[in-house]
Amino acid sequence: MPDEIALKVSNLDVHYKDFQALWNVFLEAQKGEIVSVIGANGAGKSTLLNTIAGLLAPTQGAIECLGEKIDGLPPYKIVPIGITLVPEGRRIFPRLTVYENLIMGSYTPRTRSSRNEALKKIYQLFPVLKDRHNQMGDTLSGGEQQMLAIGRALMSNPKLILCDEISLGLAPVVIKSIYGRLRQINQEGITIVLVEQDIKRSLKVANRAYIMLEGKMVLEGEPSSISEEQVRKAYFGI
Amino acid sequence: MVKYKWPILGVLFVGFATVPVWGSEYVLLFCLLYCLYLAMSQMWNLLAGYTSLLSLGQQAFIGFSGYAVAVLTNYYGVYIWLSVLIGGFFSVLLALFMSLFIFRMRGIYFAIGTWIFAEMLLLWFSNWKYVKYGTGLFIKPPHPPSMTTIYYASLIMGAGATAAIYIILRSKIGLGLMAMRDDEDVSEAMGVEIFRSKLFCFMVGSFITGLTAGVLYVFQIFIQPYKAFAIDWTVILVFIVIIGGIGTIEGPIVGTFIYVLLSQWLAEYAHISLLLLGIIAITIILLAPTGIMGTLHQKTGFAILSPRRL
Amino acid sequence: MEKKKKKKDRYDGISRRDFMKKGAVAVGAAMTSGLVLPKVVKPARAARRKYILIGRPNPSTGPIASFGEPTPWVDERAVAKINKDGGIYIKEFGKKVPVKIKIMDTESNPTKAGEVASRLIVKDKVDLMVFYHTPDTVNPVASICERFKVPGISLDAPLEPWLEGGPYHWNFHAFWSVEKDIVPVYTGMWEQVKTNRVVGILMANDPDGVSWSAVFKKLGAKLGYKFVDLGRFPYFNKDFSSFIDGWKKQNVEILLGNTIPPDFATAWRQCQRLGFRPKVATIGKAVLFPSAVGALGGDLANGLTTEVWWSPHHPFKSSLTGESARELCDAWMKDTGKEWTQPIGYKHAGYEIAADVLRRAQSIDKQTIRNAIADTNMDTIVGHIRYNKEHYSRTPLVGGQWVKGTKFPWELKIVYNKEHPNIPMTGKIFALS
Repeated sequence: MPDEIALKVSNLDVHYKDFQALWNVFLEAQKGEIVSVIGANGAGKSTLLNTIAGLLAPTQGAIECLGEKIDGLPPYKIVPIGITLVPEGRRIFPRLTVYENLIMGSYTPRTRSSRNEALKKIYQLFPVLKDRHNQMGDTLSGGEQQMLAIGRALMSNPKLILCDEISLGLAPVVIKSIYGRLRQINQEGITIVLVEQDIKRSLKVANRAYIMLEGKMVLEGEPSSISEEQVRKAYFGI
Repeated sequence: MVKYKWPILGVLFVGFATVPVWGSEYVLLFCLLYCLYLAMSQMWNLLAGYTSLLSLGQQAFIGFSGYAVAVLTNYYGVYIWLSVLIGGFFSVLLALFMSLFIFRMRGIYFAIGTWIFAEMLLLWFSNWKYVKYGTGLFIKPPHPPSMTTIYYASLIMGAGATAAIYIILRSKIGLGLMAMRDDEDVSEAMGVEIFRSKLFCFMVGSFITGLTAGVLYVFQIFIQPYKAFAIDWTVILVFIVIIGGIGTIEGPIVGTFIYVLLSQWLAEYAHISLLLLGIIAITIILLAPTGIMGTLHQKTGFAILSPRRL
Repeated sequence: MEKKKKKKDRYDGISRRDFMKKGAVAVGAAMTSGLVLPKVVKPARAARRKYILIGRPNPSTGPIASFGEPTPWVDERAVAKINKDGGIYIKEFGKKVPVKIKIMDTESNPTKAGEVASRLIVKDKVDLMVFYHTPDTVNPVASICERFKVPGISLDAPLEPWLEGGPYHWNFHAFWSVEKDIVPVYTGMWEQVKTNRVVGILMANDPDGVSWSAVFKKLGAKLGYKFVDLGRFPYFNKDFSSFIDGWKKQNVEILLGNTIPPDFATAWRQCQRLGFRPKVATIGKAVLFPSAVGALGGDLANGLTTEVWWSPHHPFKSSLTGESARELCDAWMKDTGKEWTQPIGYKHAGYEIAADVLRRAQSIDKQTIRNAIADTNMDTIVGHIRYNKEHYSRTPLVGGQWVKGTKFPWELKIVYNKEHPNIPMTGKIFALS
């Protein structure tokens, strides 16, 4: 069912106290798609992902995931529905082992039962995590940490993962390998929403792309239809 | 070392349990103080080390529960150990009440909030005729318990508090607590119910701290609001947990030993005792920035009471 | 998956069944060692020292350190005197043995005082506890002495809070009472000055402030005094203008206070600035020590009145050294260069009682010592000590007034002695305005 909607965000407003970070934001991801959201620093990309993941509550608007209304729900209710976040900067748990980090991904009761199969899959996908399963999180290299963060997000058997700046601070060869795995994950039917500074790479993998500027969605389309000029405009406002 | 974890712990526990048999009165006193401070510092560690609830108001539970014991035994003739138990529950009630106000606060605001609560209790008790204002109360049960009995009560608290933390950390929510310790936002994103976990720990912390304070005041006999509700208590607990290693179970075990030993030793150097305590604390923190056990753990992976699963 | 991995892990995980098994073995092993150990350890602590040990918890640091200041000067001097001819005859040793003291700091903290006292008893095995200075020291230490059945001699803390901890078996105390001594002395001083009998209350929100104000209002009203009580104030209050306004409005001519020194200094300076000049100002605690009086600055201390429990003018002699109160003070001033303070006499008296008791007991048996304390009937440098059936002995209280001095900037004159005429007056009370 390629046309089933995995995620639908509409008319979303988000405030940090008095400051409005998102204005009437919309986003749609079909099931099995990779959707890329690009935009300058501070455009509101992370805010959008954090709101979808339930870390922030929208002041207005709706978020639907596979037909369920999830806006305003806390993360512990959203994770079992099938959305998980790969946070910006990896943010693995430094004083937990690799194994424990992964287990944390299936912390919610409803995701616990399928923990072992999920673990097996992730170890196949990232064999390095299996080798290092008993090491402390903070002893991993940057690339390994990113793999761990992705693996952690996959532990709950999600239908949709939200990846925030997964190439940040990594060597090109590592980025390439991680994007390879991301495709693999996507091929298994998991929808991916990608937020990236690395425009080229994220446009290359995406089925569809959105451009954000100052908390608003300014453009939506197939990656091929987005011109460099439009991108530049989104980034520099000219 | 780690392989012999249970035998070592077993020997330690039985060693403690048989202190009245083999130890001198002074060893008994030392172990009694050790167990009481251990229980209270484990609880501060649970709050500050795992749930980032930086409480500067542990003295609120200590004083409140101590007064509950005094009032129940003196005014109502309640059996002393029963009143200690009730004191623990009073402490939980206080924690619930406090949480209504301070659980919206984070970090330093929470810390100051708890402190303000303790100060308010100090004002209340020192102006309350029922508890004889600031003069203080003597806890005088008709049949005062022996030192041995009090020691066993404190052993139950010390061992119980450590076991409680271990069990909590090994339980389903334990991993969530450790994740919260490392990164609260991400653990929330993973589905940890931050508020409930924190509230749970706050309740457990207040209960065990309250019970321990009850035993402490059975030992102390005399309670007076200015010191019962003084920030000094929390300062001691912070000292213990920081030098021992915050966010580890072994930290308070080692930290308490150092503190009790030092305070016993320093009492003989009256005028410079605080200065020496400060110098020792700074030295330890400079040499071992994450506390003795924290640093040892980082360097060698040593952790005898690691709540690791797998 | 988890189980298979377990064996080679760095962190030694353990299943529940394993835990029970290993735990049982461990407990068993430890039990055995626990039973064997005592026989090895016990004999080592049998040897007994050949001296009498007196435990001395003392507030050497913290807010009440000025009370504890004469330690160890007084203590060492007294002990040297006791030990001059070899000490005190003790039956158990069959000879004279010296007295030793062990001083430990309570940090002015009752919790710490309790811990320190416990330690003196169980670790140092003191034969007798001698302790002084405010309920914060005396109450917890007395409680601990009761628990461990160690005889205790205490002085220098008002009787009322001490009595709360009774009935005592092992403790004996000597000092004055707020109700029976402070009130008559204060009001007695006020009677000597012509006033309208309107009293303004300046009392901190602390144990003394709360209890003194209550006692004064209760007993003072019967004596025809009218009290203007505008409430308790917290420590380190910075603004007393509302109090002062209230007193001025109600025409207060007598100021009654009990505060810590810095608070009185603030309040008293503001009184001067705002033109509030009572005829009498009688202040407890804040003007007890010359250092605090001097810190008021200028002429502000002139004419302030307070309670006097001991002074060089007290006509008593030490049973230990034969010194008069005057001679003891002179020795202090000569050795330290500091002005005498009231606790010096009481500290000394503690050793007089201890020495007398031990000489009569001739034993280090605790019950014998305790009985000897109960039988005490002696003159000391603070007056006659004879414990009643409630285990206390009231010591004399008179009234004093601070005036400009010759040797030191401020000197305390005895201006009221109605209850204890044997203590001579050294000055005549004068009105402040």
